[in-house]
Amino acid sequence: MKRFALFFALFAGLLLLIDRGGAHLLDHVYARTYVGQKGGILNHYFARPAPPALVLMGNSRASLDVNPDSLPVEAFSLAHPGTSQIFQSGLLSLLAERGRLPQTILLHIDLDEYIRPSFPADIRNLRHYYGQAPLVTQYSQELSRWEPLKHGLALYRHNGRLFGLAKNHYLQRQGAAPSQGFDPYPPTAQDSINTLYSTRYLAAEQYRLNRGHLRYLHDFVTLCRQQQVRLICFTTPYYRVPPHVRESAGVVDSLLRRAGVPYLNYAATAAPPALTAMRYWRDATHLNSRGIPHYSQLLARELQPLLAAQVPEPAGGQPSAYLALAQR
Amino acid sequence: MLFNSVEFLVFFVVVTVVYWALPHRFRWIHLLVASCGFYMAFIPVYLLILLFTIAIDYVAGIQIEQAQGRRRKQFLVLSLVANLGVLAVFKYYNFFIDNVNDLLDSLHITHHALPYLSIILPIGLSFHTFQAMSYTIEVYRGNFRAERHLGLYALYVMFYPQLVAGPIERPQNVLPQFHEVKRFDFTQTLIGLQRMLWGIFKKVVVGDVMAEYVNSVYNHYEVHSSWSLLLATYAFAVQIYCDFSGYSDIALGSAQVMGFRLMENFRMPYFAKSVTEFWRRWHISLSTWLRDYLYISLGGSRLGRWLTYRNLMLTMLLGGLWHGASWNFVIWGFLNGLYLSVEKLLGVRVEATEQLPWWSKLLRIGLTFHLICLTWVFFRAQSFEQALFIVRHIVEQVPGTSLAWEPGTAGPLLLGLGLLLLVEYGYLRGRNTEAIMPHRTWTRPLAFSLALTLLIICFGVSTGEQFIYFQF
Repeated sequence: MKRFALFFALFAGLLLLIDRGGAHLLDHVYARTYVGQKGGILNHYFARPAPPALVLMGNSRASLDVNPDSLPVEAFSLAHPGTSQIFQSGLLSLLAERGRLPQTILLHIDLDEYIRPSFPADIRNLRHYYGQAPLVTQYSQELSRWEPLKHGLALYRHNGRLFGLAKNHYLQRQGAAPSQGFDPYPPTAQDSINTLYSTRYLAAEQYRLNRGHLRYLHDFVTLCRQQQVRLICFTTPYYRVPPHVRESAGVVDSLLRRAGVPYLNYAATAAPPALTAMRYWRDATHLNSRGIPHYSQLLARELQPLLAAQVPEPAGGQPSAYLALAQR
Repeated sequence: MLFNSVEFLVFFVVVTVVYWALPHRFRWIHLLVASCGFYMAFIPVYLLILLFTIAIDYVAGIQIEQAQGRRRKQFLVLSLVANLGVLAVFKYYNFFIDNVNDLLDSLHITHHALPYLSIILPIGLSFHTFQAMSYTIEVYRGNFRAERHLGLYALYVMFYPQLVAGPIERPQNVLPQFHEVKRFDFTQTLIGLQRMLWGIFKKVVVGDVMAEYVNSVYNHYEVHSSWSLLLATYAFAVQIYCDFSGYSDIALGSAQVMGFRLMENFRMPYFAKSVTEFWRRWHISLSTWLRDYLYISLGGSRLGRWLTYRNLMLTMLLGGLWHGASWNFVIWGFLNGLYLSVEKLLGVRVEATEQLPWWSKLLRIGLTFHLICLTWVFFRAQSFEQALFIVRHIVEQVPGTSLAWEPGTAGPLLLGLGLLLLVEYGYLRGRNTEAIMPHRTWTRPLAFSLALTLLIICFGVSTGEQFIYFQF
């Protein structure tokens, strides 16, 4: 038993040493990497001398469909493909902690999220910032009571990222430009098949409204109010509007209306006339680089009057719209 | 409580430390309580099913031993009916009703739709019922004396390392070990812990990483190219091996830390040179169970050529159904039965393939792997139509979407696969588990354990993915 205790102590000691040393080294590399879809783009944003006037947030529909350079004010896209509202709220919390909030946030709301189960593990995409942003820490701890134990090992911050980090660091050394958060897809021969297939898939999807998911949007809205950040929400168009949109948009809209947040919902009706042709689409929910300029211009036009309005005052004791909805 | 969760890690440490701290006479109580707690972490009320079959089999075992003539058989039948009855209700009832309704509809017979049971399948049901049945069958055959200690018998069925996904143990191997006084052994503990780490590595660094690729292709199979579908099928072959053998490694390792030896469940199955050999290396505890209690009971190969083929087909079809109530598993079993029958017809002998030149071995390994991959398509697909679609598209070379192989995704996949092959090659050469878990000095086990732990932290999928075989 003594031998084993000694062996275990040696193992634990060495593990701790390598863990701390390795994490220190990786943190150093990570903080200096400005290339890449998640870490790189954030580091690039934090390295800016001052926040831009507008930050675009959301998932791939925001990052692929909107060209930030087309917007009426200086904009930066912090939209991350494959993420949900949980991630956006965590990220906003991080920006607030770092004091890097812009004057306006343009948040994309993916209505499909409100008919599917929430994916709280999405917050693990921000695991590097565990303990540095209240909402990231809170959502992470809600995943499992053992989450703090996992974060006891510093290398866990880099779980699943080592190859990506190495690649991005290498590309940066080769002269790759920092991530700008906008990486449009050129049209391909596969686009029409993908568009038809995903349209059919969305139309046939069995759905049940997930009102619980509003909680993350509510946190986002509340934080924006607290930080006096102007929030404008929008939803990009679908190639064909799926059946669930009316209901899920209704749920989202009622929360945003109560909170006084403007909501530009391009999914409420059929795709705008300029975008009805299939050649503009990559699939049912994403535009290709042919369609993006049309949509970005349309969005920019409608944003103009909203950006001219005053930044809202902090809410101060307003009743929670989320609670009101949840109680219904 | 999944083996790949922090919750289990804490559970394991507490149970093991308390186990060694207790005197021998209290250890079975401790293990039984811990095993109950482990099982109840899934759906607490299902513990009653286990207790029901334990009570019946315990009494049946003693009665079989004591009774004479027909009564022995009656108690055996009672035990088998109880175990198979539980399986029938919880696992096969809805499948049966589904097919009866379909059949009546297709015959245009007006009928009231037969009712479905809205129940969740108890976790690991097929495993512990088969293990319980092996006990009464062995007692009936006179190979094993009935266990008089109810607590130890209950522990035989419920021993937590192998409760939910095997290995499906035999009473001769496990029950005597529960009676032995165990003493802490540094080397065995070290080997057990390393084996657990190796199992976790296989599951979270290789299996779960493969699963991400497999799921993204199989969930949208219509748009993927032939190459993408083929790669996903290869990846599933690796995923299911790492998932299941990883579980077995954790089970064997955690038992070994407490001084128990469970039976080996895998021996490098994808290095098999024939499907016959594959089944001697894959899920050994099930394949030997089916051989000992079904194939041989049906007459095995003693009744002539055609009855041998029939027995092989029946055994594998039931083996398929053991996995789940679905036609896909029946097809999976049928294909395996067909392969085995054809190999029997061709006179393929496992021992003879050892003497072949290396290139012939390599060709046979490749052929066997591809034959098995074909069965995996039916195993993984959600429906028979989906499986046929995938097989047809792979054969017809259809263009379509292919997933991008970015360093961020392909890197961990190749790293995990490379390390897996490296270590298992060591296993292949060493022929036993200890060969890959060095223990003569401290340096190698320390380096091995540290390397595995760091790889798990840095590359393991940390979302606590379910084990595939838990559903069976």
